[in-house]
Order: sequence, then structure tokens, then C-alpha cells
Amino acid sequence: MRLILDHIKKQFEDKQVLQGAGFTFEKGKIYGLLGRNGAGKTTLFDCLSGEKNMDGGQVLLEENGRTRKISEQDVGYVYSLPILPEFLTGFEFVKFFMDINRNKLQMEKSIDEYFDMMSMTAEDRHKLIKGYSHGMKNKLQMLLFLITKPPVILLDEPLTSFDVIVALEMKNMLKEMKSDHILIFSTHILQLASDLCDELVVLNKGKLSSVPSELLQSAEFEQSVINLLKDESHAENT
Amino acid sequence: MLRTLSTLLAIRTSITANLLIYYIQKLPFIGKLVKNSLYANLDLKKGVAIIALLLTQLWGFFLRFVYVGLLIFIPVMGLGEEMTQQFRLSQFIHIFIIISFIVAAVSSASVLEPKREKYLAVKMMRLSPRRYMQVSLVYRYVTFFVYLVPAMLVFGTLLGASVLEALLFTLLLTLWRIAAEYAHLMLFEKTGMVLIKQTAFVWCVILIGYAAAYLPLLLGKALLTEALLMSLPVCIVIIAGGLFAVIQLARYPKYMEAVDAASKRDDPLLNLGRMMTDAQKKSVKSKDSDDDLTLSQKHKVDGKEGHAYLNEIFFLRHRSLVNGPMNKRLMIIGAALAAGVILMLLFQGQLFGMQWSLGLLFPFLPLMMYFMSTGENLCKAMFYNCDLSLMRYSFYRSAAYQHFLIRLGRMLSLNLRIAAAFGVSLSAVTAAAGGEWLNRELLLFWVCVMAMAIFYTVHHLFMYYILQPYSTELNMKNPLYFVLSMAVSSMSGVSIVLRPQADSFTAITVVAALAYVVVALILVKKYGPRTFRVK
Repeated sequence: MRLILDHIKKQFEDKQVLQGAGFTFEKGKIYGLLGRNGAGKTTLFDCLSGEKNMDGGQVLLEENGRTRKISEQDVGYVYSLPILPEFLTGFEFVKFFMDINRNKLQMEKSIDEYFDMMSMTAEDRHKLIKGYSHGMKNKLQMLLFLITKPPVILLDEPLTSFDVIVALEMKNMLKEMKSDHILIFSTHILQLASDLCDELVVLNKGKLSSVPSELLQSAEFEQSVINLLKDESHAENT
Repeated sequence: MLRTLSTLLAIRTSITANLLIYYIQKLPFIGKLVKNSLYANLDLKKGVAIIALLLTQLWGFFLRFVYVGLLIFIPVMGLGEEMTQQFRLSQFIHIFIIISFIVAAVSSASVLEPKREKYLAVKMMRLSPRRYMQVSLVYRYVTFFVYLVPAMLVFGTLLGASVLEALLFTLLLTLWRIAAEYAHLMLFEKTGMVLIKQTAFVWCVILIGYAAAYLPLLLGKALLTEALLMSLPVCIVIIAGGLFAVIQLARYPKYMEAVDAASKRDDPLLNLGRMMTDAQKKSVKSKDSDDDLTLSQKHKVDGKEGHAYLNEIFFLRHRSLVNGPMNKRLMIIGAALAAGVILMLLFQGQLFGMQWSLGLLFPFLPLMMYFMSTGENLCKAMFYNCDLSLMRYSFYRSAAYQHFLIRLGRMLSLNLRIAAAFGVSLSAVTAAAGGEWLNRELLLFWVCVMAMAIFYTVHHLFMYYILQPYSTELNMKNPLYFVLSMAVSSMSGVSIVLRPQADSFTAITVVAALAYVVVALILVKKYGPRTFRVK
């Protein structure tokens, strides 16, 4: 399975944020999308998930030899700050979610089994989301993607403001999931990128370019990424 | 001094100019032509700044006309129609004295007013507090006098005062208010109290003051306030006091403390936007007791699925937000029922010399039912507590029509219950008035009330689904929403003015309600999934 980005263009007023960005992502790898603040990472994600319309280009999904345009159902968007309906308990929320999507899903497990997979206690799942910690809200969000299993999962700045234990749990979960999905996460933290991802994609000047995987583990990794992301005015100062 | 004045004016004009650009961008067609790059285009911005400055001055004059005209002149002319000109003039001056000399002097004080600009200029831009206060006071009171003169000349001469009297009055007011500023400052220096922040006291003064201002007019009593103020001794005292205050304020050395008291970083009044958001959030917060569901409530929930399940839980866990407004209205209706029945029985249906009949109420029904119907706050609560988080999911957006129907059913049951209570209450009052009360008019009344309840219910929900006016900060960003809301509210005014016949009125109401329902259903089904999203 592959996700093909073909010449994606997006502009806001006079600013050309995405200028024909193109890349092919493959299943089985965790991709890190690295870029400076304001480079357009969230805009790219919004275009992929359908939250914003693109001005040009297309996004295709190639599966079992067939290529088709991507639809909103194919993409799961994991927000760094999960916004969940606080008046429901975790259990009620998942039940509602499963009721609505019953026709589209193969319900392999029961609600409780899914919660067990996330290591959420019985007490927690029947607590109001209002009282959930950041980590628990994130687990709930990830749980939804375990249920719907969208082929593409986008994670916007994951692991920010997590405590050490929860961050480790998340990292392990992502590593387990990569075999069934195309995982792309956006970050501007180099260490996270080199730690978690199998391949690094850099968004600079509205275009995507990949960093060779040999470089990821090398000593010059940091310097080469910085060189890629620096613009001309900065380059002159060094 | 002049440099500080020009800096101050520059700050104010820049802010106004930027605000002008910002709001023009929000207008439907012209807005698109104005790009963000205008903020950086300094030459063009100078032009905008000049316009902003002109508008500010015009606005100053306009506001005084509105103040004097609406608050004082019109009531005096309206209620004093049959009285002599002398009476009207003395009432005019009396009201003016109470609300501008007394009430306003207590409730407003530039020296200690928490203003963002004060914080900006003194704390952030490091302008000297003394110079800032001196300059801003001078500007304030010079413009106070200048802006008020035209309005006073116009309204004063219309009421029979001479030009000189009008000017003298304006001068006295300006000097009195300057003296009041000094008094506020002295009070603060001696006791540390900022009088304008003592909300309870200020509100008492406002309420008592306004009552004292208008009561003589309502009761037709003449007063001596005019004679008192315009007498020579009092004039001399006020002028002397005002001039003394001017000198003292110019020489005052401890402005730093006064500015400090008014520009604390976390003063809620400094961040009106956040204060309003907090107030809005409070209005849609459910009680903690709502969180627990009884066994029978849990039963109701378990029997449902999907969106019905979600909404059942929502309405149960926000029952204080749902029932609170409904119970308030039922209580008002109950009180009106009791009072109305007693009055009818006592006076045998005669009120103010007229025989009571339901027909009298018809023109006022749109207004009454508008206030009786709940919905707006519930829509806000639905957005903030439920939909904001779920709108991100495409399956939730595409099911907009489904949950629209569920919620419509819920809100209809609420509003129809209120309408029914309203109908019963007024039917009982009519029955108590005696005579043939079970008649065609009663039937028309009931049909109207029910139709209006349906109309307003659909209206709130339809506006929410199609215009989705709420932002994450709970303030509304859709001007079309305001326009439509105004249009609907103004219909109540139209019916009061036109006073249509009961028959045609009922027919129009029923047709309007049914049409609105049909249009809403069609539009939400077609466009709901697109419009029902986080903006």
C-alpha cells in the first residue's frame, strides 16, 4: 500500500505555502515530517485529511494494484491536543463511535477488549472524559484508530507534553502499528525524529524532500538537516 | 507635553485604523478586496489613519447627540407634551444634572479607570505616568466640552434656553466633572479605595439616580434643581472648584500609584475579550450534579443507539441547562397567572378603563413568545460541550440532518410545553375576566402561540446548523447571523406597530411556521454536512 502525493499546491492570500509538494509514502514505515515553524506541516496534514481544500494537485492511495483518490475515511488525524466530548465517559464515547461506524467496520473485538489493549482500567473507562489526563485522552484518541483502522494515520506533533511513561507507551504502540498502516508524524524536534522514525521527510519552501536513511543514524545527521532547513539569509550569517 | 499628546493620539489612531481595516475585511464583498498586506502599507495606512481620526471625532459628537437626545430630550418631549415649555426645560435640566453631574461623576473616573491603553502606554511603552495622565485628562475634558456644545445648543435652544445658558451649563458640567476626578483621586490617595470598582455601591447610585431623575417627569412634578444650579453662588462655587481641581491635577505628583491601581496585568477589565469568554463559558457550563445519572435515566440511555444515544446522554448530563431556563419561564408564567386572575376577579375584567380581551395581546405575542422560547443558549451549550469536539469527524458532519431532527424534537417538546403553560395561564386569566371566554378568539390565540413556539424553535436550531456562528472562543463571527437575528426580532416590533387583525395574524403565523420548518429541513439535509463544521 502506498500514499502518493502529487504536486500539492496550497496558498493563503498571497502566501504560497505548498508549492507542488510531492512524495510517496509506503506502508510499514514510520515517516517523520520535519519542518520549521510556519513551513506548512499542519497545512499539509489538513489537505491530506480533507479539512482544507487544495488549490492544486491530488492525493492517491494505491492498494492491491489499484490506485484511487483518497477519501476522508482513509485518513485518521491524531491531534496533539485531543478535543473530546467531556460530558461522556470513555466507554460511552467508544460505544457511540462503534454504533455509528458499525456498517463500515469489521468489529473484531468488544469495547472492553479494545480498552484492555490500551491498558485503560475498568474504573477509568467509566469516568467522564472531563476528568481524563492528557495521556488518557490521547489513548482514547488512538483507540478510535485501532477500531476504524484507517490506512493512513497522521500525527500532529505527537508526544508533546507527555510524561516519560506515557511517551514510551505511545512510541511502542506506534512501532507496533506501523506494519498495518502508513504512519506520518510531524515534528520540529530533531531528537524525536531520529528516535522514532524510519524515514525522514523535510518540508522546506513548500516542497518535500527525503533525507537518506543512512544519514539518520550518522553523526552528521543534525548538521545536514540544519543545512537543509536553513534559508539564504541564515546561511550568510554562518 | 505636545509630544506626549501626539504619541497618545498616534497610539489611539493606529489602533482605530487597524480595527477599521480588520472589520472592513469582514464585510461580504468589499472585504475580499482588502488584503492583509494593507497593514504593512504605511502610505495607504496614513490615509486610513486620517479617516479613523475623522471618524473618531464625528463619533464623539454623534454620541453626545444620542446621549442627550435619547436619554433626556425625547423622554422630556414625549412625557411632557401637555406641559409648559418652562416645565420641560426644568425637567431637562433636572434629569441632566442627576445623570451627568451625580451618577456619572460617581461611576466614571479617567484617573482610575482600568484601560488597556493605560497599561500599554505606561507599563509597556514606558511613557511617564504623570505626563500620560496629564495629557489624557486634558484631551478628555477638552473634547468633553467641545463634543457636548453642539448637542447642548441644539437641544437647549429647542427647549427654550438661550445660547449663553446652554454654553454656561456645558462649562459648569465640564468643570464639575474635573472636580469629581480630583475627588476620586483624593479618595484613592487617602484611603486606597478605587470608588469606580465598588460595583455594588456604583450600581446603587445608578439605580437610585436614574429613578430620581425620571420620577419627577413621570409624576409631573416641578423641581428647583434648575434654579439651584443656575444661581450665581452655585455657579461661582462650581467654577472655582473646577479650576482648583485643574491646578491640583496638573501639579499632582503621585500619578504612578493611580496608574498602578488601574493597570494590573491580570485585571479582568483589561482583557475584556477574555472576561467575556469566561462569562460565556459559565453560561454553558452544566452543574456537577448533572454528571450522575439515576438508574431510570441510565435505562433510558441504554435503550438507544448512535446519535439518539449521544443526545440522550447530552440532555441528561446537561439537565440543569435544559430545565433551568424552562423552570424560570414556568415560574414567571405561574406568577402572571396568579396576579392576572386576582386582578380580573377584583376588577371584573376592567383594566385601565378597558375591557380585557385576548385580542389586545395578539400584536405583542411575537415579542412575548420570543422571550418565552428557549434555544439560543442551548445551541451554544451544544456547540461548546458536544459538537466542537465531534465536528472534526466526517461521519458526525455528514449525519448533520440526523441529529438536527433529534434535537429539533427535543427542543420542540421543551418550547411547546412552555407555550402550553403560557396558553393555559392566559386562558385562565381570560376566564376570570368573565363573559364569553370559550370563543373563536381563544382558539386563534392557542394556534398562534403554538405556531410561534414552533417558529422560534426551528429558528434557533436552523441558524445554528446552517450558519454555525460560534467560534472556539464562543464569540460569534458570522455577521449574517446578526442580520437574520435582527430581522426576526424586528418582526415583533412590526407587529406591535401594525396591529394586524387576529384572523390574518394567525394565518400568517401558521404559514410562516410551517414554511420555516419545511425550508429548514430541506436546507439542513442538503447543506448541513457542509456548513456544520468548526470555523
